[in-house]
Amino acid sequence: MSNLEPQLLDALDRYLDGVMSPAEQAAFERELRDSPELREAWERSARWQRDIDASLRAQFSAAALDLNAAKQLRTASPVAAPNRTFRFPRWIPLAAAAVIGIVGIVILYAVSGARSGGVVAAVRPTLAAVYNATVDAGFNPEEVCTTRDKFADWLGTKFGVSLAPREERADVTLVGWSYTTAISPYTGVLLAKSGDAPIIVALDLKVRESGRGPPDFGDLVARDKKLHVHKVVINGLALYEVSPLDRPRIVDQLEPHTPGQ
Amino acid sequence: MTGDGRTANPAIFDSSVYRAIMSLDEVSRVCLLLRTVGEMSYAQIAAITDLNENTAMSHVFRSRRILRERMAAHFDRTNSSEDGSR
Repeated sequence: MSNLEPQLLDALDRYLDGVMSPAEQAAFERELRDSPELREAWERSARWQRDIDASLRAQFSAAALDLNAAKQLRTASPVAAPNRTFRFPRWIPLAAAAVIGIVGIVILYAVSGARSGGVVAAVRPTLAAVYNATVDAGFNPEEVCTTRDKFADWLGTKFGVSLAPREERADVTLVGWSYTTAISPYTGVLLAKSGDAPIIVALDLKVRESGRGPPDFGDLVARDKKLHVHKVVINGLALYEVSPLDRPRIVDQLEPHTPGQ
Repeated sequence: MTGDGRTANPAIFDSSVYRAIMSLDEVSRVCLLLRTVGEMSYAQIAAITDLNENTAMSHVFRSRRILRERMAAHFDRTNSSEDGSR
């Protein structure tokens, strides 16, 4: 396939995509008949493409592909989003913080762009895809979090709602946090385990679901892993617990919690 | 045995595809998903991404090639080792 001339590779892509004009298509199909090398490349590419397309359709939510939603998000202020990696130290004078804040906003627009944030939000992976990818990648969090205090602190910092499980549960082990774009570009993912069973809790502000619907989890039971989803909304925070377990282990145990108390 | 990766084991194939698409740059990933999952025209993709249609198309084709090559490399190798171990 890689031995083909770039022009033929381009033609192959256009043919597979169905964007050729009738004249182009007829010419390409003549070429297919005359060139065994091209025919082999086409057959091989078409087989892989079919499988990859089926996989993408199974793992990403078509319901979330909403032009209007993406355009609305494109104009949303990035400063409204929780900061994942950086918190201003408290000792910085207010004036300096304001200057840094303004510069930060300009950089956010210039580098990442409101455009890309909106579009990313419009092509969300399903919760099943997030679960399976997290487990298959070794269930390693981006940030370690194993205590109720850290749990509540992280939620308070990122989402403005400090919650924690009611009590240390012997059957649940907190692992840490990761991120996904399942609900919005800023969706958090809690990783935990109950025995050997991995659990994820995808969570985000409820208002970020508005107009776009909840994450798609219609394919959860279609996979060999037989997943279940349990949803709760607490103080404006939407939480989706996903695991092979038929009962929730975390979202039904949450309550407001102030770290250190 | 090529191109039957998803039929043989959808869970493993899907995880590989997920990792591959998440490793693409953001614009390429978005263009591919809008085209494949959203079944949008290139004019629609251009409108939502602020790219021109040809650029959006280039992103889609390039992303597909990368995914095809990665899946072929991964699953052809896997199938070869399975065949060799028999």
